[in-house]
Amino acid sequence: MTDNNATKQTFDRNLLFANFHGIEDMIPEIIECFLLAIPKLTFALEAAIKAKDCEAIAISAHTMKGAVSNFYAEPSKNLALQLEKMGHDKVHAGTEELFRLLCIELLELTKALQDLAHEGAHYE
Amino acid sequence: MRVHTMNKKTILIVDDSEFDRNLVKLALTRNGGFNILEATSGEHCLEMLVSNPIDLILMDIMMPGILGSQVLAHIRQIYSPIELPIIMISSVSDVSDIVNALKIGANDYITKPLNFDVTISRILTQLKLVELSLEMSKLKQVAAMDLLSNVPKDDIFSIIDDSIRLLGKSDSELLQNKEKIKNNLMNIKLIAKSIKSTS
Repeated sequence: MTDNNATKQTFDRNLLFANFHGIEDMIPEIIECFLLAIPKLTFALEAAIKAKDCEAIAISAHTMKGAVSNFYAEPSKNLALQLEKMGHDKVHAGTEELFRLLCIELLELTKALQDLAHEGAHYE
Repeated sequence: MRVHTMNKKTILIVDDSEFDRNLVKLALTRNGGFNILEATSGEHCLEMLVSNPIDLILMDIMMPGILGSQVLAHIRQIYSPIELPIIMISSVSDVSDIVNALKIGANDYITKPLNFDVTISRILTQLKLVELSLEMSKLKQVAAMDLLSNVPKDDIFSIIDDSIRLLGKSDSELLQNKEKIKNNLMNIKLIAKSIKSTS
């Protein structure tokens, strides 16, 4: 069982396992899907911010929010939510900085999830 | 009316996010017993609906292009919630979107993060409701046929014939038989009402 600080901060392991109670064996597969999807999701958000396309920012941030929420990754989810709101409110100023913070958070999240996936059969 | 006789139900997943589609697919595959189709947008969903027999749609509310709620409204102009159940997928925080979707004809909704058991349960519930509704329609048809076959045909015809005969009489005779005509019409009305209540 991983019990380091990074895991605790980036996503809630307990909630994740509670949501998949009885089917914990699926978690590595779900993590794999997420790791494959995350570059595309990040690129879509980055492209929307660069293009200053607020509607696209709202939609791609919403998609990102939904994806990370599956792992109860509150820090990433909150940053994505802020970006989504800014997109809805047509506020572009500050989105680059939020995106930068989100990327840092996503990096931590992917590392933590990779560690979790490697635990594999040791799930309790 | 869309009636698919196949046991294996076909579910159409509509979501622009490949990850979310894969997640739902994993849930459905784990349960088994479903044919799974995917659409990447609202436009794609409407195209697929034309060319594929679909038993249930699982659709994200927020998508680029046509929103899920707009696709839902469009589909509801063609299919009722019993003919084609639609379950919307949303974030927990999007309460107003969920309420709006239910108002315009969504059968149910599920929220992200997805819980596989809840997702499967809600799908199975909607499919069961469709089945029960079809059964109910069949039973009503049978009951209507039963009623028709149990009403003595001679009685109906004699009441109608008698009324027509009386209506052909002179004004004074018509006045004398007013009550009888009224009774005949009441009897016809009762028979029609019984048939209507079973259809």
